[in-house]
Amino acid sequence: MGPELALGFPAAGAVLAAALRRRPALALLCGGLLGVAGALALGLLWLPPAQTSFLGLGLPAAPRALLIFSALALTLVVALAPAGADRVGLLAAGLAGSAGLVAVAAAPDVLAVAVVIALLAAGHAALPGGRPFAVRMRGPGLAVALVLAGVLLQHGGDAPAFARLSALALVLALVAAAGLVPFLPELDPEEPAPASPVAWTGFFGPALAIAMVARIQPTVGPDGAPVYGALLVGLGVLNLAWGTLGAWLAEGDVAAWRYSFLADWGLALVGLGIVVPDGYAAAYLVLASVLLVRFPLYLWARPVLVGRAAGAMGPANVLLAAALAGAAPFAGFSIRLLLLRAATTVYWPLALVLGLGMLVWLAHSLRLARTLGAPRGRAAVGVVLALGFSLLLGVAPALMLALGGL
Amino acid sequence: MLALELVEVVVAWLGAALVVLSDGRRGVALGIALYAAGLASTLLADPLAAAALALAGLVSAGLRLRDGHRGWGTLPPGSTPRLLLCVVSGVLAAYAGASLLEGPGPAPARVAILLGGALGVARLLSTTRREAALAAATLMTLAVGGAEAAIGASQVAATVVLAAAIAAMLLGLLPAAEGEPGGA
Repeated sequence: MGPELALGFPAAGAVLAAALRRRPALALLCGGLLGVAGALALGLLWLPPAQTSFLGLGLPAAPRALLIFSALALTLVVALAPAGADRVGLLAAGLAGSAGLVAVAAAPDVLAVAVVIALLAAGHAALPGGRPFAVRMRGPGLAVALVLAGVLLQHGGDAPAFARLSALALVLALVAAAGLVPFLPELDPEEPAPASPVAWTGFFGPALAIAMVARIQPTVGPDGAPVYGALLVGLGVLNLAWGTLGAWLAEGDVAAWRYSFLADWGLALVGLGIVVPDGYAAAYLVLASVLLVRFPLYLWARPVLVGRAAGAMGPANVLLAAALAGAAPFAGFSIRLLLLRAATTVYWPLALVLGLGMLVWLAHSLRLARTLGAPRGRAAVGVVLALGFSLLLGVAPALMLALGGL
Repeated sequence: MLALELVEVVVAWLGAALVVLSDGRRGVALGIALYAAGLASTLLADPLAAAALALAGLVSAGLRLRDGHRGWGTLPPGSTPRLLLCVVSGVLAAYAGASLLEGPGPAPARVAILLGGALGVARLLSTTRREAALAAATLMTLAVGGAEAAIGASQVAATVVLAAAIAAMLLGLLPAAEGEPGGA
């Protein structure tokens, strides 16, 4: 009953952490212990005897690895949260999200994924925040409707047009579920981090996307496959361009961070769309780096972003800029190599477009690194750990890929 | 038989349309209940799925009655575009479900599922009211459960229909009042 435990422990942890909110130390202890138990249950799923499930749930290797990275990211951001952050709120929201993501990854088909997305999004949108619930539900709600349309079209008839339209709807559902262009949600810079769209795209999005792809890709069929691939690549390039230019030219630093997530997602979508092993591996590594590097760094930049601390440009920030820019030996370098190789294999002009996007990428990295200020105490430990993960993804991508069964 | 199928679809359409056209808790709750009843009656070939979705709709509707704006709030001033949307969506869903699509399930079920998805997402994209958004999400979740039931009667389908029914009830549990932001 490994999958059930991986789902149940974080769910129970979220409930306990929320219930014990008035006693933060106890809430962190109980929620933390149950979260660790959930992560251990996920880890044990590598052993075949632990994979048996009473409910017939199954967790494929790649989503499972991203779920473990999500748990690691949650541990990082809660344990090393900057002063003034609502750590209990972060833990409760993160554990609830983790339980939802396990449910998404274990969902037997894409309609089950849609049900979990609706519930997960409603839970996220119900968190206290600056934007109304209804506005925050729009993207995921549209994703549910698109999944429904995609599945209905899939069973609608034998004509190739149905398969093509179904692939179109399902890819758009994936992009809407992750909150990417052209379904970019509104951004309120003052909104608390757990409720913001950046948390959705940076924390919930990666495991959600890989789990959705695992359910969608086998069902698109030979007629839908070209639409599936072309649309993912097209939307990937769009997000890459939008993200890199937006992060460079945006007025506010919060918006710049949000756009930088889009740029990463652009690379991931292109990788998923180029249906070759190198492309999928690159997408998986990008999403892992979003979870382990960019999302924690965004949270540690929050004090500067909300005006509680001043930005700075010291030696550590230059190193961070290099990591965020994808310079060797950090994560982005191996990802870019894999992606360019995959693009060259499929259609070499795509590699030119990607290369151009990667060049523009350099412009915003210094700006983002500056918003991390001069990290001290817990934040400094967190920044060092994030750089360590980036280095690990950069110099040992094969190890990370092996964790995902790739 | 055709008349009965027509009644089932019209009940589902009335329910979904009420969710779109109402701003008050009673209108929204009646909309969810009617939609669930209409959808379930089109899925009677799978009695367990039909019962689960009908029960979920009734429970969710009951839970929606406990908070939100008082009264019916149906057809408030300025709701002509919404009314047009309901009429056009009804005609298009009937055409697509009965003529264009060959599956999944019987034609009335397809029409009811399309109505729930289309009117649910239309309401969700056009409202800023929390209870309306929750009702719209409930409608879509029931429609997803209905689609799973229409596709097949396997063990997986039963699990997913049950999950959709539980999700619809859980959406009903969420309060209609917005929380106050706090923390960083």
